[in-house]
Amino acid sequence: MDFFVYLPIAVNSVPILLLLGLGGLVGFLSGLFGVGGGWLLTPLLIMIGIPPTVATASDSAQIVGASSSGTYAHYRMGNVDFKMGLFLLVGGLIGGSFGVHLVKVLRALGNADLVINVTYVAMLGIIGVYMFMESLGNLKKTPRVEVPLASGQQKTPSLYARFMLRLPWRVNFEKSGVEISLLLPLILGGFVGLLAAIMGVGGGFVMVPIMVYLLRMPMHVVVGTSLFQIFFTCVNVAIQQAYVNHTVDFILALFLLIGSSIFAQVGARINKRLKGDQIKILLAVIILVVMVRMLSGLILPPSLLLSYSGGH
Amino acid sequence: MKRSGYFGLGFLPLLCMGIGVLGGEAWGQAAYLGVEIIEPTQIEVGSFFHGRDIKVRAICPGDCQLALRILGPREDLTLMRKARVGGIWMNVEQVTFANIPKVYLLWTSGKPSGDGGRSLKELKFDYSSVVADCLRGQTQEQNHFLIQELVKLKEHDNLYNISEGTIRTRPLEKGFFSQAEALLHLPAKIYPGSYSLELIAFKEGKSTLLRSYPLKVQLAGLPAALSRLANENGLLYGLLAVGIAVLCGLVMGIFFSSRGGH
Repeated sequence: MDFFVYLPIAVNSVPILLLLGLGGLVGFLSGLFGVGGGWLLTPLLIMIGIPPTVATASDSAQIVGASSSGTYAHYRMGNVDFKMGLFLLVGGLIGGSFGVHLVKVLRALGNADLVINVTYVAMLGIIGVYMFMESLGNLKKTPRVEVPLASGQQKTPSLYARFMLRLPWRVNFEKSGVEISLLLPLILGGFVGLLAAIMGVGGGFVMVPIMVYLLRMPMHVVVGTSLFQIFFTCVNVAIQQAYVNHTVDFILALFLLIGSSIFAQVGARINKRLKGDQIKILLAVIILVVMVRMLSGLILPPSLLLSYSGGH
Repeated sequence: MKRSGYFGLGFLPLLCMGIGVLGGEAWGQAAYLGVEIIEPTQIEVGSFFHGRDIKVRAICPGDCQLALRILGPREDLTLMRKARVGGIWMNVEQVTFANIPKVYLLWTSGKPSGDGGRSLKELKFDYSSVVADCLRGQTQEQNHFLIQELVKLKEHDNLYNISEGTIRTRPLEKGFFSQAEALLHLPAKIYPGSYSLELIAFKEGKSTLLRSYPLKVQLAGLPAALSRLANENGLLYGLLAVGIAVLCGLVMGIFFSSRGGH
């Protein structure tokens, strides 16, 4: 027997088990792959009939809950670079606020759903292909042997490293062991905040590669600091979505949160039994499947040629 | 709610006129006609609402068919029209449909569309009659296309529906009258508001409205409180939502000794 729950903001009724299952699926992947899962949850919610604007806003509220326990745990273990996190956060707040108002303008123009879908397809496509190729390469290649440099010979810094060195207002981030311009975390945090508002995601799958590849932070600090930044960014986005757009469905967020919290534990246990690149390839395949599904929605003729503007 | 003996003085002339138009033999027996039961007349949309069945029992002229119709409040509805631009399907313009019912649900005892839909049109039961003249400034071809798409959207949401042959009837009193029974399903997506339930007799392409009853749909309990708070005090709603989410996350994290993901 199906038990339904009525979602007053989405103006729809959805089976409780389906919501717990979707939350559980995302939580399972979160535990297995170490990402938040908002990027997967929003399209799934849209597929079951939740208006896109409500799906993205409610996702943010769900991510607030999901990331709160993780942030606290990493804070206790000393894995959070607060200085870096603060600059990322300031950028994230600015980017998130701008994103919320951008969604409002796009809703008035009737293009919010298109922008959300196109942004999704682009982000999922780029990240999915990159991860797949990188993991496939890692699984195929033999371990690399480092050739020591001859005495007196110096390694030439990359173009990106030279660009970073030229930027003003350099700050030393002791915890991460890097000295970079404070403009970098501000701009990159703003970019992730903008994505969080438009796509309803915490930004973990963008923030982690940015911290590792662009900010050159050590992995153990990346996870804690990313969570810290994502938590506060999503708090801001969720409150602003509720205040400006009235699109946060708390009942929806709560059921997803319960499902994701429980199944994250199962995913984490399976994670320990798999190799890193096996996990990354699996994740890349899932990302690409979701991307293809959304892309087909943009290219193939829709069954309905009229739609509600800005959700219900 | 029972409506036994719903035969007020105002109802009689209306009913007599209706039966007169249809030329039924039940003319002199009009006092026996009408709805015996509508249950319920007030629908509460609570936390576990998933649509609702309304039980209706009515007495109608024996030589007529019966229709029950639920009409929602009329509104001007602005929708986005999708078209292909540069290979991508996107919203290209706003289309406003004037004075259309939010909900149009029809149940009949017979199958008026059996003759290719001609009778439905004659009886003004078809969608085109209900949303007639809702578009201005378009060609007839465009109007027809857009109304078709509007009906598809509304049918997709289960807000417009025509269910033929779903009212059961059985003859009473030597065939002068019939007792009709139906279970009318209201969809989960129904909007809170005031609706009317109409009892219509029809025969040979002619119809008459016997009576219209009010039907109220309203949010109740937690959905009502949340909807009110979200719309009247969005900031407080947002703060509460975030606060409860953090609390739930922490409690779940402690319960499962979770380190969480990101």
